[in-house]
Amino acid sequence: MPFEIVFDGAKEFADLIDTASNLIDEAAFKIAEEGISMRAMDPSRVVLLDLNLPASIFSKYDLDGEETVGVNMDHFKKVLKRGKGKDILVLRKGEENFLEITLEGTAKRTFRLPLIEVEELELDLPELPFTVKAVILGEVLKEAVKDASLVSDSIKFIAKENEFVMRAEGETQEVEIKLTLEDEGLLDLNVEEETRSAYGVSYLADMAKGIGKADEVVLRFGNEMPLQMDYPIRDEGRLTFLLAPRVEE
Amino acid sequence: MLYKELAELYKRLEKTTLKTLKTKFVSDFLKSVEKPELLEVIPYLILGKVFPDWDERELGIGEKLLIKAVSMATGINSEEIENSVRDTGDLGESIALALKKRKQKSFFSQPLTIERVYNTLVKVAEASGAGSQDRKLKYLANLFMDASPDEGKYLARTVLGIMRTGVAEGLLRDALADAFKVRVELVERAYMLTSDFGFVARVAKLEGNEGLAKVEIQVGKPIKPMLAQMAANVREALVEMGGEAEFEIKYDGARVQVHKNGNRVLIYSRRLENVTKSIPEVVERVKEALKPENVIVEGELVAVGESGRPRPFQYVLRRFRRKYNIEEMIEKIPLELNLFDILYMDGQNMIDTPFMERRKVLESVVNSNEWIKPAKNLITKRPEEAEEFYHKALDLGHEGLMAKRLDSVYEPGNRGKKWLKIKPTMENLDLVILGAEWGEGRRSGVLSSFLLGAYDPVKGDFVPVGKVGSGFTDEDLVEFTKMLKPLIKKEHGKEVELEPKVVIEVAYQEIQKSPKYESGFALRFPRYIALREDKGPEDADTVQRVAELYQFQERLKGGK
Repeated sequence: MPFEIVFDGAKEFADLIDTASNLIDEAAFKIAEEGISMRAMDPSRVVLLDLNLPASIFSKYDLDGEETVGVNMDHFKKVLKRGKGKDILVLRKGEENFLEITLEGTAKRTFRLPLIEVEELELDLPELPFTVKAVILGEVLKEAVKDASLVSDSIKFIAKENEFVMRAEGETQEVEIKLTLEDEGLLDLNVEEETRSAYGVSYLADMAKGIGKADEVVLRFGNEMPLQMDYPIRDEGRLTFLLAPRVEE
Repeated sequence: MLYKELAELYKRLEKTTLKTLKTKFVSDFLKSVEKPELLEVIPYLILGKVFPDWDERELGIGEKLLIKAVSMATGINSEEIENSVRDTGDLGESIALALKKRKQKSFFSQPLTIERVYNTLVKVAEASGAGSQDRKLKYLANLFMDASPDEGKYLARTVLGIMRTGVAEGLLRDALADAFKVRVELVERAYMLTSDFGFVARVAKLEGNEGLAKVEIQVGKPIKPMLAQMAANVREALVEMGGEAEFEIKYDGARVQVHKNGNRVLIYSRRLENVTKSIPEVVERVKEALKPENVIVEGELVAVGESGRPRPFQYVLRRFRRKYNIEEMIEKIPLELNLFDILYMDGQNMIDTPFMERRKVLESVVNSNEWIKPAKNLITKRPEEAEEFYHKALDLGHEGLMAKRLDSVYEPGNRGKKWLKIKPTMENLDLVILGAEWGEGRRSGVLSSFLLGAYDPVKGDFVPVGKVGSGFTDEDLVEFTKMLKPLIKKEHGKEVELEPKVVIEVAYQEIQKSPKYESGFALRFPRYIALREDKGPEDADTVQRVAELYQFQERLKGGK
């Protein structure tokens, strides 16, 4: 089923795919009337990705029936990265089993990417009773992950009233990143009860890699519960990560 | 089929030392495998491998990456896993422990099946290019995520290629025969001809004795090489061969088996590892020089030095190991192929043909040139002539001679007296133990690999020349551990540094020039002979002595 989809700002789209490609090797994108969606788990099944790009964020969204296209994320990413910030991205598919990617800037450059069979993940996002919602700046999260990785491979998220702390404890070293609403980096904080949960640093690092420093990232978590991290794409779209916790005995 | 069942088998195998019992366990397990496709894989898994040695694919996973994968799947940090090896004595056990203490949760889990384990390991092996290490890591983590402690232990051992269940090829062969009620000689024969237990198992199950008897040499599957025993000298060899023999130069190179099928060439090392990719120039020459469409020949690959003299065999091994910048190596280490046998030609099995006839056929099918030719040989009854040939071989820098019985058939995998090797041996050295490593598995809790040093009277210090781990009985190791434990100076992981006190006598095959040790020398295949309680550390052989022996050895080879 052919489609032609146009997105203004090739680089932004490339960053999005880059972020997802840190965690998954291949993905099945569902192209439907409402928009593009993709759900996948990383091979160790610790991270769940859920991408939702409504048709409204695209400058052109034409399709002839619903379709799922499977791609190798690494190849997809590399092609997209050839685009410049202001390039216009056109994703097109005809009757053949190829995805045509055109980058329109000073010239029209068209790549053809072979489509692959990818199993679709039949899994609903779990409804989780989160007790914390924090909105932080991308930069804060990125730096916190780097700080933590110096001392440990796991990081604790602790939220109290008016305070959000990320702490990593190694055998000999420790680091603590403390945020209150006074701080520029914490934009909003809602805490129902004091909450603690721990997560693997390397997964967080992969999730945070593609975030822009100025992006607003929404974190939700509960006691020994998964961490949900959303980041908005052009207001209406979003990429959601769900990271399974580490549980200390 | 659940991986749990296989883990259960490994566990039972590990618990008993009785061969008959082990054979029965393996046999029962083989019987329980219903799918023939699975049966092609399971014999390798039982041996603790994923692929046959001759398969090009390898996992490429070291301890570090394995630990990282387990750490990723469990949330237990890598150092903790590594450190626990000291207590458990085995990385597999340490990994089981980490799985027991698992902290990392996942969103989805399902039991491991043998199919999933195998298919995932294939993906690990086939991951290549940028980011492949990371993908390997994630595939492995995926398995450990769903592994029980026991499953994880054996999975880890499979990945590292050290199963410790005491199942060798012979036992597997017997178990196969028992499981499918077929004759053990037929299983053996089929295996020797194809080196493929998966294939043999499938044939045994589906076609029985009749199918096994029909198994033939296949281009693309290596034949187990025929081996030789030692002879003291050429005279002894002549007597053994019945008065007349073919003598061939024993090149100091690496033995290879070359399979050619039209334009497709595969080359296997002596251990039947696929080394084709590392020596593309040899592949091209083989295509041109071997006349038959389909053929299997054997030869010795020799590294040639500047003056056309052979260089030590390690140079060839360096070529085999090389994965990148192969072009550059082709120039640096040129290789010459000396062919000495033909095993198969255009649909015809040659191994039952007497040696002399095979040699004649070989000579007739090779378009000889500078780089590829039949091995130099001499057929004689006269010991003096053979003696002269032997000295000429040594003068030319080769290892010695091979003697072959003229009417002998090719016996795959057999080390008999139809082939004999004649070469000079080296005298033993008395060396000081400088360090050791804590053993794993059956050898856990004892020191098992020893760093040896020669005395340097100029500096009054000891210089490492090699590591010895073979030649010790279990009792020896217990004794040495008792003796050496009080001498421990420093410990780092598995490795310990020792006061240089204890002197042992070791035999070895050769002294090599080596940048690995400060002394500049390394012993090849050192083997423990005796404890020299009569010698103090300063009475040990000196670095100078090692150097002298090296010179002597090179003279024997005709080096100077």
